[in-house]
Amino acid sequence: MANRVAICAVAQTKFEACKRDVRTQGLLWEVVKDVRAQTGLDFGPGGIAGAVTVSDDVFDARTISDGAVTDLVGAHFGSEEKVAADGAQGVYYAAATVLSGHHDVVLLAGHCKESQPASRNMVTHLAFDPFYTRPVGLDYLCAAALQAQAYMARSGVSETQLAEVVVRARQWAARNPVAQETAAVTREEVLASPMIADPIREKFMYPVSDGAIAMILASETHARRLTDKPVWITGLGNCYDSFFLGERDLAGNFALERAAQRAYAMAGVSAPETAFDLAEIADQYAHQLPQYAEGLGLCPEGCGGRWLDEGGPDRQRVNRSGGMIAGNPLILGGLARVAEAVIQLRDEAGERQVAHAQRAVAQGATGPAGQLQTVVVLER
Amino acid sequence: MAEETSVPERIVSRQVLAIPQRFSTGPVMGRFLRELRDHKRIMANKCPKCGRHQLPPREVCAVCHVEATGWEELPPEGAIRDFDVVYYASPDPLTGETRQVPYVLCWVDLDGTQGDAPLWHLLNVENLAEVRRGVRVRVVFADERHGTTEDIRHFEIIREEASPGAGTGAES
Repeated sequence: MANRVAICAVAQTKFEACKRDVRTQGLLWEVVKDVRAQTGLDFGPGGIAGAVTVSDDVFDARTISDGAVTDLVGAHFGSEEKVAADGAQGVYYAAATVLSGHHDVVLLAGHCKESQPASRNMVTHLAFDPFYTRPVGLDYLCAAALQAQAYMARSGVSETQLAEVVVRARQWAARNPVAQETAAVTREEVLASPMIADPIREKFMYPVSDGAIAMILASETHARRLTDKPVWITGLGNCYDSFFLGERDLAGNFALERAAQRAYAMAGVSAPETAFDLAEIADQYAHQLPQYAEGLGLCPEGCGGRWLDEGGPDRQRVNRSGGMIAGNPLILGGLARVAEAVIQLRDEAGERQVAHAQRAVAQGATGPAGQLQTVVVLER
Repeated sequence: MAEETSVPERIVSRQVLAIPQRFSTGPVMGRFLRELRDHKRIMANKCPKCGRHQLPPREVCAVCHVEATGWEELPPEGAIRDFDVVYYASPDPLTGETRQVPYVLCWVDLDGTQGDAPLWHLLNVENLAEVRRGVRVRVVFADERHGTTEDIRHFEIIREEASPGAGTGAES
């Protein structure tokens, strides 16, 4: 990239099953206040010039959901753009805002309270069309179950291996102060959890989660002024797969492979298996950890089962945050992965720190069974 | 073979979308609704920097970007700033029912505020010709209150009071 853009500050709330004491605006304000304090930035000329927000109309139960938070992100008299997708797309938007020269300093702020609707599956059901796919009862959970059936058959991933994914996720989550599911579980406990949508058991799913994340992105000149530990975004890529699940190869990674290729080409990464000091994968469901590891090129296609058996996640330092399966709301799963990558590259990850981390890859997904994939390469 | 005639399909798919939701108010909206419910008080919050009211109260002053930590009780009377007479009400998507029309929706500048605390609600009025900008109105609270905007039933126009000393005792 000719110009450079850096993430200069990151703040996350603690992720929790239901934040009863705060409304979405209060939740978002917590992290906006935090990144402003970290950088000393105010809104307006010389400060935060624009905002990118991440929220979902149906979770917030209002159309144009960003309208409710403009006061909080300085957009009352300024500019704001909303991403109605995973927050990793928000990183893309905010970076593009800086790289295009539109604004030098951008606030990225996302929130979601999955606890607001009676069921988040009712929300994701609405992501399907009202004529062909809603009448057959599809939601993101069912779509992920179809994906898991297809993927596990092709890549030889067993239920026991998925249970180990969950056990490991909890171990790392216990070292992440913002993680939600931090209690240790055994393989047997995971395998004894109720079957929800075959092969997805309750503990193979990310928990219902509330939280918010904010970041400050800035051009190189401003980044150096705002922090002595800028984390550079050196690669970005995204790709959509077909809306209709039947038109996709659910066992594969059509969109993720292309998103990764685009991000890696931009960052000059040619051998992803060894290129990164850490990787953060938005594993909404346990099977997506090995599946998306394949898509990111961390292991060969079809080898996710072997990758798990041979200690791939530990060797490549995947999801030291605990991952999305430890609990982030739907549209913040990828943004939380970027946040963890930044924290690691700033050497601020405490007990879960990857020593001498120089380069990271973070992935986020939007839509049923990872329809839209976003990949971000970050370097210190 | 009979010639095919082109007839456009006009199948209509009727659906109702509904997701039960629950919303936490947080402390700021929570205080506003609690004061309405428990004390029939209209509370605005205030920016400590510019002194501007926010009604309904919100966490942050949108102008100064600081937490609006001050609170002030506002009188339940004021003057109509803007109003509208609605003759065609949107139906409730779940019940198909509509409000009785016409109804009057108005924004009221409560007394003692500088245009920074508009309270909006329905205006209960028989004669629409009486509704004008600047007409003085008061809040009528609901008898049973539950911590919602409906704890205010509506505004009503303030009638000329009997002259002092007339001894009507109407203000008991």
